[in-house]
Amino acid sequence: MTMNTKPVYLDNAATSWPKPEHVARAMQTAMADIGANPGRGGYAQARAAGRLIHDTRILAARFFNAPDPARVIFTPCATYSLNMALQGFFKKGDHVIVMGRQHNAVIRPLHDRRLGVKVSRLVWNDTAPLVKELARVQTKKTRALIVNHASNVDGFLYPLDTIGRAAKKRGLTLIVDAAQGAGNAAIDMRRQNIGILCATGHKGLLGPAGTGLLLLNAGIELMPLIKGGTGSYSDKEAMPAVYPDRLEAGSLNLPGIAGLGAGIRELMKLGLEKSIAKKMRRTEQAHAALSKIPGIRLYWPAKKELRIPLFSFSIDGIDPAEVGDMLDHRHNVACRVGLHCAPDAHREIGSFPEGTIRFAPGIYTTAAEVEHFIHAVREIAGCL
Amino acid sequence: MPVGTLIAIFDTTYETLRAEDFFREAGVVFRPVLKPRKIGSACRMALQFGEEALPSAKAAVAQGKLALNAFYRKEGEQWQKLD
Repeated sequence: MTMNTKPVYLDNAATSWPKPEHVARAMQTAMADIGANPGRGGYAQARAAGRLIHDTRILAARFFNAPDPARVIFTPCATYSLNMALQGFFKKGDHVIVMGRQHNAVIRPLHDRRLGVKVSRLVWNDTAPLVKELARVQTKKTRALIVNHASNVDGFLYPLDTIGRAAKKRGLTLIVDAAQGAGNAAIDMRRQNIGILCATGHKGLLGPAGTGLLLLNAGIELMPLIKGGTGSYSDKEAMPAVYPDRLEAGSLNLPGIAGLGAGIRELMKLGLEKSIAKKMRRTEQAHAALSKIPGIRLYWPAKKELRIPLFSFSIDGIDPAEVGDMLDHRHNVACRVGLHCAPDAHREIGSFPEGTIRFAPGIYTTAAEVEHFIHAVREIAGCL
Repeated sequence: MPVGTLIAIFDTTYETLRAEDFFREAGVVFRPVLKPRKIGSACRMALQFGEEALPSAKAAVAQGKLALNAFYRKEGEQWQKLD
């Protein structure tokens, strides 16, 4: 096997790459032609910056069918969004049910003793009526159900329509970690009864690193985690009560938000369903070929409707770290290996503590690149 | 550049930007300005427009369900809040 001169990037679940050209262009324009701090001045450049932020807020609300663009909050990443949501929503003594192959971005804030929240885990794989399962673990103090929309380990997609209906029936606020789901599955805040949606901008939404979103449905109130200047109500010591100002202290990432807007627009132009279908074809191509290689274990849900375009695998007798190293050094293939910051997910699928190798194509991944990856895995597994 | 004797102040930058869209749609000729300090110390943007556009501006506020703080009219050196 010869070294591929062009890198084959299959780590789009960590961050999507390459980004659409429009993303870099929008960021360049924001820096070179606008430059000013949005909401911090009345001159033309500051107003243009404010307008860019405003338009991106409206775009994001439309993309997720959120009821109020004022409740679209820009954050640095999904982890920040989740921390803002969890620390801003719960009070000491509350009980919360968590469901799904959780990421440390949810587990760690919930287990912070200062938060003082009791956590129950619900293992549910779309096999039993969820309303009954929730009733089994719900207490008088249960305020919310947190679900990881899609696993970054095995691509398990939790059906938000079903979950949203069940949460509503049980009177629970549904908090969704959409770090992997956004851009890889349809999300509709209104239809799916999502109370709080946390997403990152740099994965499926095709934006740059350093961007994230926190979207609140009507009636949801959060205490601000970060306090400071908002460019409004400057004569008051308390944070403003109105959104988005309440949750957006400090200067916003103008170039990043410009890039995020361009990413979402590109995704809308391509069509969400079409772009998911394309990634799914690449994933199925790789999965089908790897399933024929002896000694390979695959982790991807059997039901098509319960998966996003990524899967994990391992090769019997070879450390995943070694596989990743060989993919990188011998074949110029970029895959993330290990626990993927989600040890619970690995426990659930039975790959803890060794972890797995993850295949995560992007919208620009070609069939030829996938063939190169398959060939590389065959060689590593000793089939060539 | 239109110069008017009226201004509309909204609760946040977000609402002011929404107001710009609704004013434009309603045909209100306006100019974004910094809120006069005589009205209050809080930093905020305002939309300045002419007397003749007040009915359209009010209609735009109603149409967009805008979080209007208040309309003000300049009388001499003072800004008077409109009912």
